[in-house]
Amino acid sequence: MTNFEDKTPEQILNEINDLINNKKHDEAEKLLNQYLTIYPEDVSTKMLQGKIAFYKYDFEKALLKFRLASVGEWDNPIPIIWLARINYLIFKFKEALGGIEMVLINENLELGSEIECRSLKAQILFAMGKYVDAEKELKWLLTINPNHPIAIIVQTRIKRIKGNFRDSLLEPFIKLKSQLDDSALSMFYYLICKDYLRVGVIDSGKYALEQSVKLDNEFAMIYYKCYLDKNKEIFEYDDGLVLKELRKG
Amino acid sequence: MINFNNFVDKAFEAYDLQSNFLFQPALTLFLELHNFEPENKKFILSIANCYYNLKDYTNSQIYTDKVLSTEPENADALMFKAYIADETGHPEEFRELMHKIIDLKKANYEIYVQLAQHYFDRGEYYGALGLFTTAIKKEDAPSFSISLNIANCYGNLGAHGIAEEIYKILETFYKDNESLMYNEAVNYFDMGNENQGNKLCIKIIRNSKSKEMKSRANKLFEDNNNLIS
Repeated sequence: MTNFEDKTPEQILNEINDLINNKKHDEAEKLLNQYLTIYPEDVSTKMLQGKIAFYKYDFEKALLKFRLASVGEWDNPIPIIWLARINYLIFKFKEALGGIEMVLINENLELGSEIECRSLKAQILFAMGKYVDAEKELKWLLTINPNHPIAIIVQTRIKRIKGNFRDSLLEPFIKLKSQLDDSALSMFYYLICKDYLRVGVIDSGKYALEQSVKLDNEFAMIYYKCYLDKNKEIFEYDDGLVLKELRKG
Repeated sequence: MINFNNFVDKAFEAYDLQSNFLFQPALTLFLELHNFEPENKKFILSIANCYYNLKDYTNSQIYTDKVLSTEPENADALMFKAYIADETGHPEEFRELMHKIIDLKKANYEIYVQLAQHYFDRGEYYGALGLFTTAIKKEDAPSFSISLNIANCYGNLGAHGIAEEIYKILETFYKDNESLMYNEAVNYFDMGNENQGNKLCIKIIRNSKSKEMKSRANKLFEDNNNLIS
């Protein structure tokens, strides 16, 4: 039992948030439950409950908590952006876009929130195959920040789908690497692997593919499996890293 | 009649018949082998398998349960029980048993694929997607068919862009595969890209040697171009 006596409620909530950021979700949940035995539920605690549920892949609970957190908080974009993010992940694209539009309508929206909304919107539109609309959002994002990692990744994916392989990714992407979270990093490795393989730099391509598979990128997994089936002489691993990862799966 | 001298030969003969889909004579032999060696689980499961393939689900169930009564976590027996449940109109039981095999960590890629297909056929694409995605990570999992199913799940979930991205990967390796082209065409029509959808349909109609595939592509083309045949 944590001693709350020498801490303000705000300090405790920050501590819970830190635990979430450090992926200690069970500890965060325990501390939050303890906090709620003393202090009442409010928007912050509902948001924290939502985040914990989200990181534990309990999307239904996360949706419920963020919905509750958004009630009466129409000027607060954060719970609505979270709702949109979750809806996107569970393929409720219309709901996700509806939430984003609701946030974007706010004239006093801070730039940071607008960037987050438009980045998410671009990803959703891309996922839906609405490339022209996605590109409008990407253009806005890249005007604000030419190195916006998600925008560059989505833009590259659209280019590749359209068959544009002329622009090499390697240089701009390598600069961005440190800014990427695991999900974006896995896509980064997948995209540069294809660039390397295309130009015949097999070792670097293999390394990038391994990294992407390790980060559980399903495109890389599909690409790797097909590549393995078709090019056994190139991907001769015996007991290599990628196969080990695949076996773990 | 089976005796100590011909036991091994008869067992080989039974398995041989079974693998050649000759289930009735295989069953007769397995029943004799079972009488000779009543505790042998492999014979009991083979009997269950023969009955299952002969569509005698009641007897198949009896022999499957014989194994499960002493080995409740026998993956092969659980699998048979699941198949029987599916064939006899108990989809919930089918799912429960397949999930049990997965929870016991005894599932190979085929279990994942069969369960995924079960979800897919019932329009539960989100559940199917998760299972297909796990299946492809398994050793020896066939890359093409599972990847195609993953793309189809995305398409059915409205993620046509992601589906297209996967179809493009597959195109790199299986360029003229008609099944790929057909599914890709469906996705193009769903995302409103009639031009690409039509191109693929026409390619199949012109080049396919399969009557069925030609007819499917033709129907898809007609349905999406407001043509009445």
